[in-house]
Amino acid sequence: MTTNDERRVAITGMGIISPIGENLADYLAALRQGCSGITRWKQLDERCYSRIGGDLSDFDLAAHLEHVGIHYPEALVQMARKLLRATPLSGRLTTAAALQAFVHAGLHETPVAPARIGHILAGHNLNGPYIHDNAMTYREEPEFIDPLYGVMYLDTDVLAVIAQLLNLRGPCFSVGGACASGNLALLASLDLLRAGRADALVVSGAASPLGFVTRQAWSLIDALSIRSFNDTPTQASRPFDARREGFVPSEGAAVVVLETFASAQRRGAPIHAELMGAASTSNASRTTKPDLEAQVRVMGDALRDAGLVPEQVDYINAHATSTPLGDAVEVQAIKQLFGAHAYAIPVNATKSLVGHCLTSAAIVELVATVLQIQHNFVHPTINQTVADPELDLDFVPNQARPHQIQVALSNAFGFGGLNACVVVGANPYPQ
Amino acid sequence: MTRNEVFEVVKAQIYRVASHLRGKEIQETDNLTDLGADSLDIVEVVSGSMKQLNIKVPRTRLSMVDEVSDLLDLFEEAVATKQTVQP
Repeated sequence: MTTNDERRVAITGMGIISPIGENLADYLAALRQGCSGITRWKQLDERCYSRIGGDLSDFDLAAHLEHVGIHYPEALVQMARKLLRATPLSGRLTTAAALQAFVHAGLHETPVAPARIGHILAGHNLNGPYIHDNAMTYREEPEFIDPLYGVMYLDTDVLAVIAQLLNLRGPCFSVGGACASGNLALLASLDLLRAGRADALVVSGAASPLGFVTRQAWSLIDALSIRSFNDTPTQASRPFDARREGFVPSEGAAVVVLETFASAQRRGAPIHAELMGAASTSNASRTTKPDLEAQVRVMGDALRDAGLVPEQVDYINAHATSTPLGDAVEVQAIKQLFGAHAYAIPVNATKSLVGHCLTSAAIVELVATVLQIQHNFVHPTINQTVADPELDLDFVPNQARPHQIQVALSNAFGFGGLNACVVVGANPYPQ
Repeated sequence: MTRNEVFEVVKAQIYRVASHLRGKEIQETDNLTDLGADSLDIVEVVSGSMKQLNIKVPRTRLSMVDEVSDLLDLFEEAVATKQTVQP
């Protein structure tokens, strides 16, 4: 490591709770095999148009801690059980992923000073079903709402629970940017670490469970897949394919530990990848319509932040939600920025497998990106059956394949015209 | 419903919320804070007990509670009142 590396930022830990894997090994296997995690919703309201999604509503924390957490320190397991006993679903899923990342980074054995490690949480509107259920209870009997509602309805309760559990006493706040929240949290974290405000940060992509009202509302604005695939849910999320008809919401959480190279070196922590750059742009528009210029600009800005040029990128993890217009504009933006090089690099869609994890999506996809970098492959974009003639890049259709990645770019675009992009590099000091 | 039955409901709620106390005998003279319950645990125990007993005690009166016996006094009174009104 050189002196110039002091403020470079490493990814030293990762955790995942998703419909295709509740630990890194299972997630990696599912990415390789191209497994879909989309099913019928386990709780259906026949009046609601939305019937399918990535459903983790029956996530069993106790079983997870016994299986995945078998090597966790007992004190952490006990405190997690207590803190999460009554915590709504988003907090349970996100905290379980945070525990994985914390242990994966070795922070339980070689800690960073508590005041020098913080927590940045990507996400908002995390407790919709819980809030709705309590509103229903209030209508019946105000005395019997959840006694901890005053604490737990806040999105920042997820932030606080993880901070308490892992004793994170440095910078601590949440970042909201709809479906770009994950990349925006990475951007904020990168800036904090570069500025020296912390040595390490736990960056959580918070799970966004959806209640019936939101599912119905997004159906009404034609954002979701609600027509053709209710009986074949694994086929519904099909980014780039000609039969795509809308996104498929999903309930995953993912967490990474970001750390300065200096801190990682001090701790002897493994560097899984480098977060090289990030950028954010706005469409200055309330609509859900994508903006070509703002997408081109955000990718270019992120590369400049990383000190790279487009030709150095050898893999793109696309935002690619499986909406007709969204996928088309993103492909156009990639072609515009990358020119002929766009045709030389694989562009896949993790959402074809996991669905759209909303505020955590970009971190779910960052974990997929790092695993592909580490294991020298690109996962398939599944459900590629009818080619869209205008979308002609290499989407890695249906089959994984070997691929060496040195520099990856990952997009996230959110309602409200929010665009964010991160650049991820392979570990510059492989063993 | 007897005072002892009310106490059993409260004890079950304490054990549910503060799992580290399971197996420990709880006395009427115990103070929940001294037992290691935090402020949120106490709110949960009180609300859970009221829900199970199907009673309502004004929060202004609950703020006076110190020992478990104080809680039982309030709950016992509320149960008796309810049983008088709704036999």
